[in-house]
Amino acid sequence: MSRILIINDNPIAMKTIEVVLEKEYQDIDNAKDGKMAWALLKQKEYDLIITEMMLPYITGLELIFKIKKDATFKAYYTPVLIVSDIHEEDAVTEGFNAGANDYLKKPFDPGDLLSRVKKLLTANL
Amino acid sequence: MSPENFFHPVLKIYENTIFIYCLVIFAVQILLMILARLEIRRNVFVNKFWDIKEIEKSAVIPGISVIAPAYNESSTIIDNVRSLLTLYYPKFELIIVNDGSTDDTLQKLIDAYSLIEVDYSYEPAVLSQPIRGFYKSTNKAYKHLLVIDKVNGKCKADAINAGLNAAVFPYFLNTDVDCILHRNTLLYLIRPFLTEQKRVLAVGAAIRMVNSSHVDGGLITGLKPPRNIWARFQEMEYIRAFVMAKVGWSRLNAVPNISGALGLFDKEVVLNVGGYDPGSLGEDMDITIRMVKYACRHKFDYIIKQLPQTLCWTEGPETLRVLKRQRVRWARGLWQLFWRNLHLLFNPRYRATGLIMYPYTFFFELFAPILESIGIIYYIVQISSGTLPWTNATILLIFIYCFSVFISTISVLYDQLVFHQEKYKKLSEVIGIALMVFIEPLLYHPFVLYCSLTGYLSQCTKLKPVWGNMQRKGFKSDSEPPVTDPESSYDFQA
Amino acid sequence: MRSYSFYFDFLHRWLLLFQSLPLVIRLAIIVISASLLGGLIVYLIICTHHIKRNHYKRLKQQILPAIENMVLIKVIAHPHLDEMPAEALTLRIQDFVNLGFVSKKYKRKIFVACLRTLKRNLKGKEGRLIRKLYLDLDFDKYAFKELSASHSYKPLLALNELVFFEAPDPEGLIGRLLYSKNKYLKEKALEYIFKVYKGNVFEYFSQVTAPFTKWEHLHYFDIITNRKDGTLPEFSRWITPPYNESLILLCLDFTTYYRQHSAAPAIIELLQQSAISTELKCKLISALGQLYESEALPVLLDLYADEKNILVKGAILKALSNISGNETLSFLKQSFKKEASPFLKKHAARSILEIEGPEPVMDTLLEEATDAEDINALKHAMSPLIKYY
Repeated sequence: MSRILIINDNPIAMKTIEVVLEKEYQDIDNAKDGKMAWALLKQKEYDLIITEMMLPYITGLELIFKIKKDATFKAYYTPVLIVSDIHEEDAVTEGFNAGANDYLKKPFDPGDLLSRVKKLLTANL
Repeated sequence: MSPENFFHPVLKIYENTIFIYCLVIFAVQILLMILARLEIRRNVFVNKFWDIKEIEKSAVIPGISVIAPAYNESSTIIDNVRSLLTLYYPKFELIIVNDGSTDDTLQKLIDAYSLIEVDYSYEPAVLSQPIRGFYKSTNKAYKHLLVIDKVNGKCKADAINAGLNAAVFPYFLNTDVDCILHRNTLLYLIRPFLTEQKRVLAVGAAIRMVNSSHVDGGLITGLKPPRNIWARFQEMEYIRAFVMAKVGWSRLNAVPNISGALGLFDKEVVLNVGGYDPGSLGEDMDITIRMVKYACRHKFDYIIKQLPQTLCWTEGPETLRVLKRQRVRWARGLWQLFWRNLHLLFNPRYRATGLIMYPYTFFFELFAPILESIGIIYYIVQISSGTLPWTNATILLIFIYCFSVFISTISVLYDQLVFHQEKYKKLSEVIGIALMVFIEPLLYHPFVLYCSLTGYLSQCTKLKPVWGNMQRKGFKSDSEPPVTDPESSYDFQA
Repeated sequence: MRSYSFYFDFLHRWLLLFQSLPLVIRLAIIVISASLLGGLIVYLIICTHHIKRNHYKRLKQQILPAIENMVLIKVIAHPHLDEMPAEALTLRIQDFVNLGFVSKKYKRKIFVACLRTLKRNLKGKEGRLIRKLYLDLDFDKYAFKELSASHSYKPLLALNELVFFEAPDPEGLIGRLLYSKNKYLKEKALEYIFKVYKGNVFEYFSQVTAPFTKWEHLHYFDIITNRKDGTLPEFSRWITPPYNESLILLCLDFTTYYRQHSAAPAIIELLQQSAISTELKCKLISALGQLYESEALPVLLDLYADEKNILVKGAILKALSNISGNETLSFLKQSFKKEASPFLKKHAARSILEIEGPEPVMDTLLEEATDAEDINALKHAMSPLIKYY
């Protein structure tokens, strides 16, 4: 049973991702800003984090850096998938440099999202 | 010839002049009212036609440098920088200019964002006080943050110039650390630069009071009208100045002033006119006028735009003392600026700015306080000599009162019609602000009038400029330091 | 009868009084009554507007989740999604009609806005299925009807919607708008053509006479780079003076995006003309750099020697970082030492760094450097903390 955290401040985008993932995964948490996500990450363990780049309080990028800062942190090895509105080249490279495992630009193909999620989850096992 | 016979025709002429003067003001106000309505309607359309969501998706988007000077902002700096760092825009840098703060503003920044001093090479394109150091963060998440520590220049212009020298992108946002920006500010402000065929020099947006609103971590979580009466008056005044007057002028492409609290500028033109002028008391209006002059002299078509959306919230002075200092400085800035740029008056070379906006503001806004006070003296003299025609005088007073109330109420309505902005949730809050217009002409207006006259007088007698910076310590020592101290920041002109 | 004359007399007396007043006062009284009445009306409008907006908001909150759920579930969990192309799939339209949002105009607007946001998040088969839903519900018919409205903004917004959903246009209504007098209609019509028309849409480039805005530039770039079909033309065709600058700028973006090296001669030729703007010049230079065009080196060096504009010089130094070679390197080092401007020094140092890597050359340069400005520029270029330079 894989547990997934979705972080997105846009309710429709969040819902879309949820509906797509609900086909195969049931255990999904969501956070609508960086602060909330960080609180959840400190509390629970997740198998995958799906985040947007631009978030209130703590940006997606900063969140990834926070996660990857300390190897003893429980989410340190959790794979991160960025699903973002940003298509700008620099920002994509920044995302990967920060330690994200994959980057998906919106609008996305739900099949594509599912296969990437699957890949990240199996790689993590 | 008795003095009475001599004065009578003079007084008659004065009375008639004043009446015509009032009629012109009213006519222009009604014109602005119509223009603002058209512009707001267009803005609603623009928001649907060019969706800002499509800008952030673009792969080839222009970058923006956000420049925010800070002076003694120790109490709020961390949260405010955080909110600026999380602005929604794919490609921007944030330049915080520590303008020689005397408190621990810089140290707090260094600690919170793990900054270290770096060598930074830059082209000194515009003048500023010497720079003590450049700081970058070792945390890669803040790679777009640059902190400049410089010697205090005693004005915002100097700090912005220092930021301009270090900025790398073709557009820059001039803002203030203590301002709270809407998260989509950059997307809204960059849009006119992209959609207009002509060259856009600057874009501004409406500004409001944040007093009494709930703010969490540099973001507004609950918008509430100010409870303090002076801040409420200012809120009303800002609505009128931004949503009605400036938006109306924007329709004629003659915006008098892009506020120093929020404005996105074309960097190239600002550098070409020599950057901000530290010698000017109203540096934001000064730069707008100089950009217009530059465009007209180089004969290219330009646009300076004012958006009706509120994108920036700032703490307004809540005590008369602080408010007076702010207004006196604005008045001095206005006086200085208008005498400096007299050649614009009725000059067709400067298009709508030279022919309409400048003459109107010159005769009907700059001189209004003077004429108004003469009028009041005239009334008093007439009352004391018992020659006042009571009925007519009362009707004239009611006439002016009713009209100003009407215009202000219209601006509250316009503010409600603007697309997609954070608004007060309850109807009672909106009406509460609208009702302020009934007491404004009786209470707030005379005060502003007094401040303007004081400002003009001190500017004419060339007293030493009252910079906010110098006065701050005095203010702080005799009052409890508030959570957000409005005087620890720079003033800007509404 | 008597009472009427009483009122009449009353009014008449007031009117006489009014007429006896001075002009100033008469005008004042008129303005007072007008603004009082106006003020009252304004208050009423504020109240009704507020109530209406709140009502609309509440309605939206009520029906949006229903629409979203319905659409998302019907679309994403469509049982035959993997079996056939989206256009061939059938959706039970009745389910959507039963939600009751199709008949009323303002509810329909909410529905369309919702479909738009969803389509903005989804592409591929699901995205096309949302488009199909839009068409099956006949929303495009309403939009086409609004296209001929006399209101100034309505046709524009209707067209915007049609273009967004790539509605089919059998009568060629949209294609005809390409020759409209309204520049916004024209802008959207061109966008439609790039989005929807099959085959060689690039022919339209030759017909474009009015300059693009930057928005159109961004938009066309995104649309065309997302097109999967068709063969790409040689974009160098449009990189010559008779075409307007904005089109040339767009085509330069395409040449670098698709790495069309064959465009280099055209770029070099245009670069050598004197009457081009600084913006275009910089873009041409950086395009040469991004194409790794080593033949352009002598041209760039010549240009550098004659150029006075610091931005163009900076662009040349930046572009040279992609054209490695001994000649480039010695030129960069020379300009690093010779140039007085910190801006150019910084860019020269940065380009040397990108060609040579941080260690060997930079260290020797740093040792050699005596001038404080030189050291500063080198350290700036080497700093890993500085993102934009």
